[in-house]
Amino acid sequence: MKKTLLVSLILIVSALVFGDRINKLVAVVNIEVTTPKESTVSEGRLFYFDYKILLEVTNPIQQKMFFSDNVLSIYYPDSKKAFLFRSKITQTFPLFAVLLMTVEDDLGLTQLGFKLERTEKKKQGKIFVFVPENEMLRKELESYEVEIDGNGLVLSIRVFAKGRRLVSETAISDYKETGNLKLPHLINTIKYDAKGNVVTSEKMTMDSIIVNAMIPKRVKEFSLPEDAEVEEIDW
Amino acid sequence: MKKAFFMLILLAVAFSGTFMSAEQNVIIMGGQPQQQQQQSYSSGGDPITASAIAAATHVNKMMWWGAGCLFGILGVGAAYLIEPSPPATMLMGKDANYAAIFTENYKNTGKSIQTKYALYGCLVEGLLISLYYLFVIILFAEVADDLYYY
Repeated sequence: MKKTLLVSLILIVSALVFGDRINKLVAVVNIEVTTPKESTVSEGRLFYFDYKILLEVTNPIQQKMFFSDNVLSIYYPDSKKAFLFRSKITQTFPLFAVLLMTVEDDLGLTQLGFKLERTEKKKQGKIFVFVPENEMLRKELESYEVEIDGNGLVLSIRVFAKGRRLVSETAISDYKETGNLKLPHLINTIKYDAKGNVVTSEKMTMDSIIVNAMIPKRVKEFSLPEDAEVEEIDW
Repeated sequence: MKKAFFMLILLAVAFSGTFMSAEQNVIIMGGQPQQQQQQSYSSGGDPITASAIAAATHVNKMMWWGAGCLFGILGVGAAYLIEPSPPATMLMGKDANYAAIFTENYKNTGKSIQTKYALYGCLVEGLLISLYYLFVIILFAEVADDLYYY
């Protein structure tokens, strides 16, 4: 009886704490980056925890990319070479950031100082147009247009710079039930130049997503090995 | 912490790879040693071309032009000192040799674009100030002429 009560309590607390938020995540990823000159497909495993991301690339080469605060470390286990990029701002992985945004209310835009300017009805769903309230952001960014379907799932995010110039277009699809959440498994971002030409296309396909999974100790405590040949770069 | 994290995510999503240079081809073709251009990389691709395109695309030229305009020579100095950081996705699946060359070339090309645009802004500011002084001098000269005749 006591055990049952304890388990129930743990489940309730877990549901309250982790119910609809991603605190930790593990996924198998396939990332395709295409520029007008070349295309690279990378495969590996992604770990997200404590606002940090470790991407273990296994194909076409062995590579570990660790995003932590304002540092991006790239380690090559085969050659024991490493790069350590120290930046003045937090380093992040934009494709994965989109996935995190989809589980936030209003994609976290309202909380970040954007206001909903208008809503446009579509055949299936709506388009929400957010504009920045922040003066500094407004100089660069005109609006964020978020398309949401009838079930409240984010289908696309279009970013417009001043003069309604389309900067990037992100298609979010292949939603699947993952724990308590419905998460997209395909995120495709196309970035445009000032003339409207495609600059890069970045596509991330995710598989075997586990939300709030146990993060292995080796991942949690990731650091560059002592015998690695590290090139430090300050940005 | 969370808010700051998401704000940076937002900016990253919005602005990574958004600003394109009109003269990117000039940058791509210019000034690289032949030996480097012919090197091959196990992960494929040419880091010099890729980094030149990426730098030309990612550096926010309008911002640096504005900095030059607003802060004059200080803006130009900042443009030279602040180094742009390469997008992580461009180094994904690339070998260490590729990453090293990409990073170095990205840094140099990005810096040169930043400095150039800050300098343009600075020149515009200088021109506007000069025009203003010229206008004031002409105005005073006319007033002085008028006073002389009276």
